[in-house]
Amino acid sequence: MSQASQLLELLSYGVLLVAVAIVTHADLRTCIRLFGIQGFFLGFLSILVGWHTGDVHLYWVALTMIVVKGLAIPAYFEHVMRRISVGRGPERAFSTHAGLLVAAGLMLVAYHVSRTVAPATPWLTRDVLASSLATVLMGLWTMINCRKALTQMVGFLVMENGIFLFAITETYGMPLLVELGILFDVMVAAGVTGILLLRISGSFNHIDVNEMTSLKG
Amino acid sequence: MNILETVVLWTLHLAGLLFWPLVLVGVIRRAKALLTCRRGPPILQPVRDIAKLLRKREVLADTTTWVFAVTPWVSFAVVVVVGLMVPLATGRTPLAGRADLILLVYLFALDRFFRTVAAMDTGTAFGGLGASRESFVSTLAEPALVLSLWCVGILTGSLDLGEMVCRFAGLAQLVLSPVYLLVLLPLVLVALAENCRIPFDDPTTHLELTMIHEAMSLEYSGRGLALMEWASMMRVGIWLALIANLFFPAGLADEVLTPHLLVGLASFALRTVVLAVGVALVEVTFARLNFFRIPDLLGLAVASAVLALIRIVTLGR
Amino acid sequence: MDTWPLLTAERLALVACGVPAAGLLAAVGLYRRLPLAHRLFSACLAAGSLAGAGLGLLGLLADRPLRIAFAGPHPSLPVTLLLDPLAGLFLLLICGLAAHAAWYGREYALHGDPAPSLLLQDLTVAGLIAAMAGVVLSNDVVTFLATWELMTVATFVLVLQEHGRTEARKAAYVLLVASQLGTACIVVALLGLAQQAGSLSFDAFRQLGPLSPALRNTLFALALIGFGTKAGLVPLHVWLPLAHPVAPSHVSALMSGVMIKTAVYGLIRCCFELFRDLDASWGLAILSLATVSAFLGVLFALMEHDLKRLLAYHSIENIGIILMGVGAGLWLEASAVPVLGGYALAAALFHTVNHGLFKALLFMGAGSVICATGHRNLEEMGGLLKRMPRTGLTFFIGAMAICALPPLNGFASEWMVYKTLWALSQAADPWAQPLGALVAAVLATVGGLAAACFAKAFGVAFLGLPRSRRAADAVEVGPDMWVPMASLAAGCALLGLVPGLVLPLLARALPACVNDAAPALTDPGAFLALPVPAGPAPYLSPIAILVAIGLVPLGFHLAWRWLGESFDRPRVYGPWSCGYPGDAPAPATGGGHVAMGRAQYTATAFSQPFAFLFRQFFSRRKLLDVHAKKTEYLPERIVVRIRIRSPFDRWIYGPLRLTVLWLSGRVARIQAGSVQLYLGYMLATLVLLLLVAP
Repeated sequence: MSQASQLLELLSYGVLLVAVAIVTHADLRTCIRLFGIQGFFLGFLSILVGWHTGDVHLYWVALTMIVVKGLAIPAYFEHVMRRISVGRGPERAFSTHAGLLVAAGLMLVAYHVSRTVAPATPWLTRDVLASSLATVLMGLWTMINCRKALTQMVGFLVMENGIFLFAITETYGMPLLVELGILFDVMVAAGVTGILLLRISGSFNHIDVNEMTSLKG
Repeated sequence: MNILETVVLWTLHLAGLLFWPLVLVGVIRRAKALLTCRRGPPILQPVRDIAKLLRKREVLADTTTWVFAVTPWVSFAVVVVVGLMVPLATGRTPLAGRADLILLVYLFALDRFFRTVAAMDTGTAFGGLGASRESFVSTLAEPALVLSLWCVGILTGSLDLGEMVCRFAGLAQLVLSPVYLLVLLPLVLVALAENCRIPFDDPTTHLELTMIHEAMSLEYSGRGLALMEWASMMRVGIWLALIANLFFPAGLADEVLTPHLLVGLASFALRTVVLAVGVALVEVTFARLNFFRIPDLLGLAVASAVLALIRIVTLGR
Repeated sequence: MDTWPLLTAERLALVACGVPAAGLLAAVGLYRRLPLAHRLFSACLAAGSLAGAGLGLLGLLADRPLRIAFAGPHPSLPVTLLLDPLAGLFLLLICGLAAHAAWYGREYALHGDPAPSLLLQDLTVAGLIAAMAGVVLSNDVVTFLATWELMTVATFVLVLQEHGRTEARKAAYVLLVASQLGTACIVVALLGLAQQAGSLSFDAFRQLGPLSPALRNTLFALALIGFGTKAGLVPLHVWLPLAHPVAPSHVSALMSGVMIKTAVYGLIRCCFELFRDLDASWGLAILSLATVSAFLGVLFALMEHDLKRLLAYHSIENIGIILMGVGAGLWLEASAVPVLGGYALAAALFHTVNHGLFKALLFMGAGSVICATGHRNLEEMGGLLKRMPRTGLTFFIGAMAICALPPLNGFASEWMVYKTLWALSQAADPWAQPLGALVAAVLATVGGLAAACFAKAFGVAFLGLPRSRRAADAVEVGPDMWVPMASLAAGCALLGLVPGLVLPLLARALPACVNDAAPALTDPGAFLALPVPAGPAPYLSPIAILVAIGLVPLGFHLAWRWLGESFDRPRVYGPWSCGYPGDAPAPATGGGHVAMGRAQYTATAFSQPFAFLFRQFFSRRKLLDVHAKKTEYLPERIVVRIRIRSPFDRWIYGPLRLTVLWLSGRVARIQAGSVQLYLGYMLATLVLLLLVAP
């Protein structure tokens, strides 16, 4: 029990660490790969929960998680990156140090909040709750901090991962159908973003969302 | 009321309604002529005019529609119905208990609506001119009319014209009250305005551009003109009767088949003739108002009625 | 439920929903043959509306109200409907007029080049009708608000039908903003009540105990603002004269005839059922606002020369007259004279029905004129009565009815409103009596102005000589358009002459707290007469007036024959016109110069004295453009443009708009247009919520 719990905690820290790495890392390709690693972590985590609770459907969730988030989406994003020959730098709005400071602040908030929430299941220690919340915030911060539409998509997916982490530890995951539905949504979002990016870069020769300011009425 | 009484009432009332106004208009014209040192036409000249016109063949303008053709009949009929609601020589009317202040106002409005629309039907410049001015003057007269008669209604506790006249006559001490004058003034002004008399309009004008009422009946001829003229004379008669019975009710007969009736008839004739001479006096002493000064005079009428209302509410009678 | 003929009601409801649905399916199938599809669907819509009207009649006549509940989107939010007599009355009015409008639209919507989106327009009309029916039937806050909003959205889409025109886009925008602001007020008022009652159902509101005065007054003020906006109460009316004229005419008929009445319905429910123990001063407030509305509405109508906008302003006037009855009723009810209060409310309901009939008729008449001439400006019409006799006659009847001329229905209900004002002397407040007198004087002036306005509208549009080539070439519209108008005109005459047909129904629809007035209204002796507030005696009989008016020419005729005189047929000849030869009658067709009656009085000229007298009420500017080649003393062409701005635009909405724009400019700084910044706002909100919420 405690071992499994500890393992779970460890994996959730892994997820959070990867999220922090995505926030701070400068290289776009690395960000995408880190996101893939996060997918793997989440896959293992579901296997762990499934093994402990004996819930078979969580194995399926883990499988799709690893396949879709760990492999398919990163591969697709790299494909898009190659096609639109985007520069490798993610072009942050804030400097790395400032970004890291904000991230630290957000983690503080997450931990502060997690102290006030009572864990719903024996599995859900406050650390897991805090790291899932922090992952969500990291994802949001990534979206704010990055100028490129592709990185923003990565941030969005990180946020989604944080929510998944919360869900799987809080309620042992949602029903398979819902899980698959969410995953499908994510895939569609990623696909649409990719296609849209191809179109945008085809039309404007860049994917810098800052240029959207000129659309304001 | 038995049948004889009803027959007598209807006969007298219709005669007083249809023919007495012609005499009254003759009186006004004759008095005006005498007051300006002319001889003037005979008093019965309006009767002869109407009789002559009624026999003449009508000419309809080819620009007109059925609206123009039916209007003299509608106007005449509506004024007759209004006349049947207003007490003349007796406090009783053929349409007793059916004669409401509101109905009176809106029947006059019906009459006026047809006349204005018919004036516009001719497609000439003067028809529209008369219609516009007539609407303007009578619309402004509307609040003064309703408010002053409403005050009478509050005093008498009824909006029924017959009851208003009978009970108002019973309030003998009222003659000395300022309320009396404050209500009389707007009614007189409204009567002059509604009948297109000086100072609102000059019924004898021959300059088309200054006409109000006459401009509306320019295209009528023969029987149509006779009916229109007759109706307008009956309106004069109705207004004079209303004012005479409300404010100078001396001798008003309250029953039909009594010796009192003869006194009532004589007093009615006398009172209306005196009022007609009064109208003639006003017409020879005052000049016609500038058209855009008319609202001032009618505003005075409204103000007077409002004052009467305030006085009635605060001090009672 | 034993006395309720459930089967019949269910069948009617099924027909009311099913036939239009089937028609829609068929129309979609036929969409390649657009006119056919449109006619089919409109006919189905008319049939369904008739069934809905039948349902309303059943609800009006039933002994017990019918309640229906459906499962809603959430177990705690069921869709509950209540068909009681009041709802039944409004359902009858809405669906009855909708049937006429739908049938009229069968041909009207096809004039000119029907747009490919015609079926969408028809569908929206159906949605509007359904939404209005839903508003009057709903019995809980959520259903009410949902249908209310659907009504707004449908109106918005219909106003945008001619979205190519700037006027229509502006109107739609103003409509949307005004409706949303009004709805916001209603939402707050209803949710405030819901919070007190602990339930979203109107039934719970009805059982609610007395609220604290401050809360009650605040919530009622909000409800009054919300419903007043929809009803077009001055000064919340700005959207109405913009939006009503630009919709297609049969939709204008629905909007002016019944859509604004849903607000009257809401207000009546609020005044007499949902809010208990309202102060008498609220009656005074409503009465005062209504008087101002009636006066300003007709004044602006008189200045207007766009036929449809003129009619829209008259809606403001008539809403004023209706709310006079509601306000006086509330005042009398709060003064513990429920008999008179009920009579006042019956007068208001009667005028609601009557205004629905004649306003729909007039808008349809305007639509026919627009079909025939392509003009909405009065100055371009003229002489149409000869060319369109049926449209002209029905429009004339509608005009007489709206001017409250006896013996038509407008007079019947306005007479009852006058009697209500007379009855105000019974209210506890000593100032009620003089106030009633003053309001009566204003109402009489309003009547005079309305008569002047319609003498202008009818005279300029239908009489005299044509004022434009298209007016000279106008032809009568088809039976699909004039038959609904004739039916409505017959309704105007019938309700005026036989008030006993409708007054007992109105008596049933009175809310419980004022239904003491029912005996006076249902008196069998009053079948052909208008009742007085207290006392059983039927008083005024419009049909007797009509008979009397008819008897006079007959008597004249007989007397003339008896005197041995004869009647010559009139001779037809050119008009005399004081010898002025300028206006020879225009030949209808043919080449060469056509005299267009340019010397006739124009609508502008007709209303000029009024414009001069009431110049304080609007800023009226006359712009004179002199087009001359050499010297301005020899002008070739002089164009006079008159611009009229309402004082509300100038003094209220203009400054308000500027303030909002200024504030928006300030607020817009946070709207940098950058995605990151927006995400940053989200993050900040999220963090703030996380920190604050626990």
